[in-house]
Amino acid sequence: METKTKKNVVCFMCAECGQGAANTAGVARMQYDTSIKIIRVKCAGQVGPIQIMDAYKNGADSVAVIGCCFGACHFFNGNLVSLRRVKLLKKFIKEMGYSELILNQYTARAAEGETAVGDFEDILEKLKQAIENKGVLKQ
Amino acid sequence: MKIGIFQLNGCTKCRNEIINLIGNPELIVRNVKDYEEETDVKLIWCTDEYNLPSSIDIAIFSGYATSENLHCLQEIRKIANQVFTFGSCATDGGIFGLAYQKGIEIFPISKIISVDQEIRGCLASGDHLLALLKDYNQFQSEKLCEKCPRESTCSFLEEIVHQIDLQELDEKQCFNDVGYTCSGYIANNCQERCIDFGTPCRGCNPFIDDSSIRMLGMMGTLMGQMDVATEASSKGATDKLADEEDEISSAYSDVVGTFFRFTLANSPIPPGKIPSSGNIIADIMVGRPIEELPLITGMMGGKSFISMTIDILDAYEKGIKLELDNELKTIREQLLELEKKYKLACENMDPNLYAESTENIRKLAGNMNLSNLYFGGMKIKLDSFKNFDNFRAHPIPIQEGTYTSSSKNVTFTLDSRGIITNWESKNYEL
Repeated sequence: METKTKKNVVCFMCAECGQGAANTAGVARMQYDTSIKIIRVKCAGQVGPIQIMDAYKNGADSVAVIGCCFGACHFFNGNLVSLRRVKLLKKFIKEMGYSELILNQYTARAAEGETAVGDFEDILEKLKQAIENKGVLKQ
Repeated sequence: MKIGIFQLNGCTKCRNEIINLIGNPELIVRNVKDYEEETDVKLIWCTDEYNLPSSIDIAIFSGYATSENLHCLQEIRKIANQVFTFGSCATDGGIFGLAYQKGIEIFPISKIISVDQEIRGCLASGDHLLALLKDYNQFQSEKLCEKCPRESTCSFLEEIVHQIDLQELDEKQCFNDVGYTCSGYIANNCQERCIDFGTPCRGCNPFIDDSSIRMLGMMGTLMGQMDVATEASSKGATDKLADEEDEISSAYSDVVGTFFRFTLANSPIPPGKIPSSGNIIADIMVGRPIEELPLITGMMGGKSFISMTIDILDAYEKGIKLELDNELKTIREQLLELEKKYKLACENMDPNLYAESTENIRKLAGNMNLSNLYFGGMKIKLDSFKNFDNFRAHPIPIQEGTYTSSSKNVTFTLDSRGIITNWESKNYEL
């Protein structure tokens, strides 16, 4: 756990399902790692390469976007649009010679806190792999 | 007024564009040796960084900067009243900034010293510089999409294409609407206007910060109809983005070269970790797709931009056995002759010869980036072409293999997706 807590993981969570699941996890007193820093956004579709690169520039080791389940975006299709942007940005990071595991997108269900906590665990597991492969952006 | 012109590393095309200012009646510009009248504008071509004048009013930088130039740049900032960067290389790292992917540190000048005016563009516009010299705030730029005859609908795309047959495209149809990526959305209207010669914009003259990242987001949004791979998460029992290849990740074989062609060194990502080959030209070229090559060399080839481009065209045409029309061969020979004139004009600082040679190059190749040249033909009919239908350019097949030009100047290897994996070239004069 020691190595994990030194890291910064920025999670953009949508105010509907993503943040809802994190709230449910909090109510149920589920624990997750302290390296997770949540940024609440109105919709996952608001998050694009600019915001993600800003997070890296300001010290994030890993960035994740967490939105609603597919087909369940509370607006129109913000999670699906964001998914494609994230995939394209992942490709850019890979082409620059870094690990694409430092950028991920997940979905969560507001009624189930364990979905958000599970996503966090998955992010940290992937970040660990990326660090082992020397693929993180920070030197 | 004393104007110092400093050429850093790499291609000299932007510096040469300043030759146009010599003898310009609007500025009464005198060339280097005249120091008589105080009111005159004097262009000082600074070649020796250790022998700087005591003070200059405006320092104009062109070319890309590396860590070796740091000290020199700071010294010049001390003696200069104002600093202008001229061209994409000096402003954003430019096309040479693609070597940043291979870990080569290339600095936009504004990251080293404070810059008063940034003139972007590949080739940078001499008119823009002239307007700034005449009146600091006079130059008004326009957006490329507003000045483009094509109209974008911004509808979701079914697929991304890398080559199109211009005959099948409607005159009003936007390149982006058929999936032929054009960065015009983030670009200013410019002097070269590749879009007029069947070539999509790559955003050398953006009007917005972080332009490439924004364009990447824009294209990601437009790809809304394309398949993206998802998988069930083992931990949270919800779906997540999968890491496997899908339509989105295979749509672009070269995201860096498509979106970040001119701004990679100025983008918020640390230097890339792809191994460098030690040669900057090879570092730029490896990883780029074959269909983008003529435009890249047309832009960064310096004084040899025509011979370099024609060598590449020739190498691949020979490899895939494309028959060339006789008129096309003549046009290419004429272009090579014009390149000699252009070189001579640059060496002698002759504004008349420079204007004459560039005007003729534009007549044959469209613009100074040679946007109209393509494998096996020309993209758009220009007035100087007689039987254009015989050498109209069509999409080329992608073939794996090693290609060498007849002049033996260029050798490159392509993989099955048409990406350059190995590059060797003689030392062209940039």
